[in-house]
Amino acid sequence: MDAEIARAVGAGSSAPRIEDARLLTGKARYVENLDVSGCLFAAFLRSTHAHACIKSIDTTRAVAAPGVVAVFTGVDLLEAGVGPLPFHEVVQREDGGPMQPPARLALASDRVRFSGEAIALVIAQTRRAALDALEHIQVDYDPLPVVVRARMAHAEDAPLVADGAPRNVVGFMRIGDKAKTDAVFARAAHVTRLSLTNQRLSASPMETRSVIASWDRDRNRLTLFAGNQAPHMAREQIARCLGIPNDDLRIVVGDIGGGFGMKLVPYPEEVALLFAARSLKASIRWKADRTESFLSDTHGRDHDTDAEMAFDREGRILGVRMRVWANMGAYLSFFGITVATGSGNRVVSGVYRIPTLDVEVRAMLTNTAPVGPYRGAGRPEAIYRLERLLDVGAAELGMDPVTLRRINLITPDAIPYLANSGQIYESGNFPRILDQALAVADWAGFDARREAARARGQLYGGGICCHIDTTSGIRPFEQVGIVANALGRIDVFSGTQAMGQGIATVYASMVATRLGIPIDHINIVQGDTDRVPDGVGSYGSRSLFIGGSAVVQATEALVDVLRQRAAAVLASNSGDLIFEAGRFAVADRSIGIFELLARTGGVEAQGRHESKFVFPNGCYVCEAEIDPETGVVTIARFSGVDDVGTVIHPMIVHGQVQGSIAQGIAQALYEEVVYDDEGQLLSASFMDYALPRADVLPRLSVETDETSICPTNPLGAKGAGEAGCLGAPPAVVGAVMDALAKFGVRHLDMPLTPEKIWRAMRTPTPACRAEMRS
Amino acid sequence: MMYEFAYVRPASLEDAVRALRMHSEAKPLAGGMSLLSAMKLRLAAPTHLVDLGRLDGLAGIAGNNQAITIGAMTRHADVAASPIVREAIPALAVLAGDIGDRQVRHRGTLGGSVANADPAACYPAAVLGLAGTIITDRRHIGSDDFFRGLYETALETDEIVAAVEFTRPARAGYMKFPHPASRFALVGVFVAEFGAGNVRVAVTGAGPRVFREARLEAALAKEFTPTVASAVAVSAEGLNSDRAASAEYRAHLVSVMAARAVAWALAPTSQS
Repeated sequence: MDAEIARAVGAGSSAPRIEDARLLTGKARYVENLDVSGCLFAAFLRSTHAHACIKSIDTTRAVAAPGVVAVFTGVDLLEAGVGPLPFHEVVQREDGGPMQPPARLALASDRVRFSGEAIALVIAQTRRAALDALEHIQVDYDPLPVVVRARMAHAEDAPLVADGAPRNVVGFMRIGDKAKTDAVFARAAHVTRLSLTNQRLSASPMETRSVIASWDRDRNRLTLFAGNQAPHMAREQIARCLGIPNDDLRIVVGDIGGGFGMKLVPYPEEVALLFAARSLKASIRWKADRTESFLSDTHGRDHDTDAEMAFDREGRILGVRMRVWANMGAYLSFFGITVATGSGNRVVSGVYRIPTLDVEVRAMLTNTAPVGPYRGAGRPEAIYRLERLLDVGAAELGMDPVTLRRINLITPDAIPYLANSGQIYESGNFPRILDQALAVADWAGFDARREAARARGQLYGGGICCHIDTTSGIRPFEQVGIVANALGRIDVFSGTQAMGQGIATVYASMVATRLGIPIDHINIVQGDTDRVPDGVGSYGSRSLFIGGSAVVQATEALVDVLRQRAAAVLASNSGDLIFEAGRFAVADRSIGIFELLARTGGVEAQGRHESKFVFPNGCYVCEAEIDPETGVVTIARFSGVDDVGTVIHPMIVHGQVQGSIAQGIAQALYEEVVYDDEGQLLSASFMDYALPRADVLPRLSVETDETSICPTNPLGAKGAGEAGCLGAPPAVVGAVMDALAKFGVRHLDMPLTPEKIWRAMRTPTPACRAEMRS
Repeated sequence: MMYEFAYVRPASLEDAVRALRMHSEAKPLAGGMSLLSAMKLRLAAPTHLVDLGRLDGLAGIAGNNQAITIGAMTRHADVAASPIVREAIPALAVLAGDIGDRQVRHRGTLGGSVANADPAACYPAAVLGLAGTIITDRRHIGSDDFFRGLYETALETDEIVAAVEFTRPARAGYMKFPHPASRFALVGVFVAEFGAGNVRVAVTGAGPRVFREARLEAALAKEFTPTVASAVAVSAEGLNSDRAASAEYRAHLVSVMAARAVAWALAPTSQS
């Protein structure tokens, strides 16, 4: 049945992207391109302090400045009853009480908790007038002590970010069995211990956050034009903040120039701008400049971890202990705490049999920008700590890292497998994926390549990572409507969201192939809460396997209705009709879809799919070369195999895999959001924040394996958007550490900058020095 | 978004100087690849921009046996592609061809870069390394006297660079270790040998301004080889220390880049 459906929707063929002609010829509908007449312009005054009480704000001169229409502060919003932005109440405090994060107001009123937090909003006739007026606002701050690192925020004497978070722990989560884990550690033949940091990243989309907030005079309601990845969810959250019914807010999304999870959550600026639009009965534009984007977009990752793994004599894992301090920033963005306590922990034990574990995650408040979902969202952190433990463990046990992984992998006979997280791995063949990845990587030829590199005076190492992702996220359903009109146009309505990944092409191609008609008859409608009745959004690699499965259901429902009609027209039993190449046929009589629609009128059909979490997985192999004089790392080879279930559109899957691997390599080698001890952002532009460029990325040899398709959806798909962000960092770091092994280096934190590596080569560890002496 | 400013397009170098004199907060615009960005970030707020872009006499490249002279408004891409430069000082053509990105190389100019004196820019290393002379609307300034400090030169506020004259070396090389984000020089080293015993080594990116490295010069004057450059322990004192690199690492990179620049200068393929 599954294979049949996959065939019927054209799995394995890559239709050209229907988005590209528009996107590549300047016809994209980014918010900045929308022509909304009579717009006013907005600018936000942002805190220059990372932590301070606001003693007073004087806006008098700004209000009087040329071109200024209005200036709003936090007090204006509070007095009008605008509430704080909501957060996902997914765990409790460490003492068992309900979480009490600081209220995240659209404009801070009496206290700021991170540098860049919005304090005041100027609305003016022009953007320049708004920006100029910002300089006329006087804010009197009373600075407070600052803490920026999650681990340091837990210290007894650390400054407190909020009253409701004792020792800055805003939420707490525990998985596993502490007593049992303590017991296995006590009798383990070997324990590997590692403290590591998974550094903070910025999503850095090409299109920064951009908004038009508009008051609809005819209908007395608000419209938000914004690049949100989940407009229906955002509508609910923002409407709650504004104290209005969902129907009084319409969200319209055009094209999105990169989301990566950062554009999933609603933002304070959107709430403040909607409030201003309602107050002034106006339309207001705002676009973050790049520095504002670095300051105020949700960041990703930022976990400090103490990780331990207990082994028996043969290298079998006996247990794992993790203590995680997850940096939330100063406030909880809607999914900030979900990333740390939810999504990553569904793959807490990776692809390995781990008899017992003891994991504690503390969600920490600090004086930094709020953290949110970012491609991978929790899973890269979870996979990284396991894979680093295995690499270091292998070195300590004197074992080959591949062998150590292989003997601990969950075997295919154990699938479906109840993992430590309580999740069921529904499909997968991890040893097969490992073997294939080693073959694609020509692992047998590694030693020869290392010798060749050494002959050129270069250091050379290999790294491997076996990763498993979990896709879907909360609200695991999508609803899809299809409307075929009498003229042969077919509209498909979905609450998932195009954001460059090509999901519209995939949906259109699936529907066109199933119906046997040209793709240009299909129109995918997304990103408008008025036009799309219901839906959830695009995140967690869910658009195809949930949204696409709903498209399949809706298409089948449409075919059923058309079949009934064709049966009537052809005077036959519907069961006798054969539907092929866009025609219903019986004996020598047949009718095409378009003629049928023209004769019998339009058709509507619905489809819905709800899914459990599913588990794409894979294995990557990286070979890295290090220049011993400078410490510069070059990725020599990057290979692997991904099991994303059925591959519906190979070109788009490979694009997703390449993009996420690029981001993963970038985390390993380049990117890092850095605050100084005073909470000032040091990486606030692309002059300081190192995004990778094409010339530092290797040619990727990554294949897909479709032998373990997903049994829980009709397509057999698992999701392909994020695995590269999980698998690439451990593979790259593993390769670099292997190359540095002779210097006694066990572990360096990402990003592996040239200076970090140069220092590691210059200052061998004591053990290494002893070895060199002997 | 920039503050408001007036745009002035002078017809001659004299007019340009006059405009700068008339408005104390005026700035010459010579490509604008640094100035316009600073203005967009509101870090610079000139009242007037005096655009040198139409002063055709300021662009062009000429050479003889001793030196080549490059007009201040010559774009990086034109220097990189110039047969005269490639023949006389291939290292300079390579340096120009690796500044910024393609767009920057087609807008940015030699004079703009030299006058801006960004401590991590490439051109100042070539000007200093090649014993260049900065020719302005009113005088000649030797490169040893020109670069004074962070974004600071010997230029008067109303003085405009018209051209730069580079001494032809026997051989020269430039190596840049790029900043991971900006790709400006984290460390860039220009080495030039002007006949036996006369070597200049100019370092950019590593300190608050471009500077000559005396120990490397002395060592390479005795023997112009990569091994000699590698063996010189460059002092970290006074070098920049920031998130991208400590002073100690920069000092190390100076000798590594110097050695690679020497190797490049000696390689048969780099001599045309």
